[in-house]
Amino acid sequence: MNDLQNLGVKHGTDKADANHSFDAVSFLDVYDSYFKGIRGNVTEVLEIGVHRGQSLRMWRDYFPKAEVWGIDIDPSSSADNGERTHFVLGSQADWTLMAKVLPEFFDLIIDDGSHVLDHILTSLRLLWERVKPGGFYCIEDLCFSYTDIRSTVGEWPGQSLNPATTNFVNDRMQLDLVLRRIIRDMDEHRGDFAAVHFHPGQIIFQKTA
Amino acid sequence: MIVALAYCHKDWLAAHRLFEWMAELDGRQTNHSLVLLASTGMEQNKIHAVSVMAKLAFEKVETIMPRQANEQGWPISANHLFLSAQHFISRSIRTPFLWIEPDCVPLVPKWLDALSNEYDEADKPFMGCVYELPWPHVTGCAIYPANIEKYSPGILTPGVRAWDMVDTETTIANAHHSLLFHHEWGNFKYNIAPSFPSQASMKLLRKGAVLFHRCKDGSLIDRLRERREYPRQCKQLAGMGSASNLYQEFEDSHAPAAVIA
Repeated sequence: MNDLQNLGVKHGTDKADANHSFDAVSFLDVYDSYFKGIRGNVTEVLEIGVHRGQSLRMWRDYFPKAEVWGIDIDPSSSADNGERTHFVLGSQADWTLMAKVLPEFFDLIIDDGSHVLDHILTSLRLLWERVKPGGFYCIEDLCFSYTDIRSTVGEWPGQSLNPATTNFVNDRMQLDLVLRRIIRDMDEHRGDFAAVHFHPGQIIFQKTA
Repeated sequence: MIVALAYCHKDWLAAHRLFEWMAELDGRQTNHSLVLLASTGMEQNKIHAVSVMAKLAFEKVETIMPRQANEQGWPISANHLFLSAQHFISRSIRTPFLWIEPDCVPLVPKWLDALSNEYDEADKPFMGCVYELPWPHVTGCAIYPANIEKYSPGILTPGVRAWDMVDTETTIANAHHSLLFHHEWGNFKYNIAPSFPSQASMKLLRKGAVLFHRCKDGSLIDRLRERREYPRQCKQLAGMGSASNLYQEFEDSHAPAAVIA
């Protein structure tokens, strides 16, 4: 078991469980393979969707020099408000929040928020320019990008706090169209996406250095 | 038609993106020309990048830079650029001009022909969108006569107000309200411009409009580009989901963000 998986189990994040694994490889196994070489260099991390703050504590312990920021729409979310962790109350689709509250640049951003495609794509647009050169932007739980996720309103903490006008109808084709453009730009040696890594339920974008 | 566009260090990339999109839509315009204003003090490499892209969209491009810098923020710096363009056009070209900004987005090919034709037919000095907030006015992105002083002299001495917020009644009286312009400010209270994360969100666009203002994040160009490249998929996506636009979601429910720790 790698360090990140160990920390995930220790702090109780679901990123390490069977629902977030395929072929005996969890989300955390995947992340560790990308981040283990830069652990000492990461100084700013943002996670969208933090629930009880389990993963914030995990990232804090994994990246020894990082300030770890969490954003969640659910006021009942409680992150560990200790050293190097910061909890921000608000929506991932809130422009003013993103612009005014969060640090300007991040080494790593993880979107584990509403899983509403409109929100995912808005956050990617808003925050990609705030990923440091060579940094990473990750989107989780893409199994939900094929379906109407209104049903999760009653199940997920915070989902019911999105405005009633939220477009909960996800269609993967919209995400794929965005990805096609990114991939095309990369193929034509344009833009600032250095790599797009696909894993089961996860996408990891890496920025050009 | 003369098109005038000004940009500064904050939106030069948006201007670059806009000209790239214009060139994709119509190739290089030969019937219309461009007056391009770079804010005083802009770096030469940025001016060059925007000019190169502008020349893909317009055969004739004239780049000017106001002699004096005026970076006092909105609306004074915006007024300064508009008045610089108006001064140049009224003295050297002397024809009506379309003022656009980097957050404008042409929606269809031949958009400029459509605006030009309707302006000619309307036979009014001004043509634009009459917007009700904060009070009725012709929004800044509009067609102006070269001799503005004859109709709405206050526009030329706006002081600390935005130029499109002065002499509003006389401007409206002399304006053709064109549905070719679609102006959506977005969230007025929080100054959030509309964004278009998905094809479903494109339901916000009014049918028949050819020029949208304002989209600051480039998302509308992305969605329009998708429509051109993948029309079948986009038609399917447009019918899915609600028409909600994210900026509206914060209209009433937005609370000041709180940092807990």
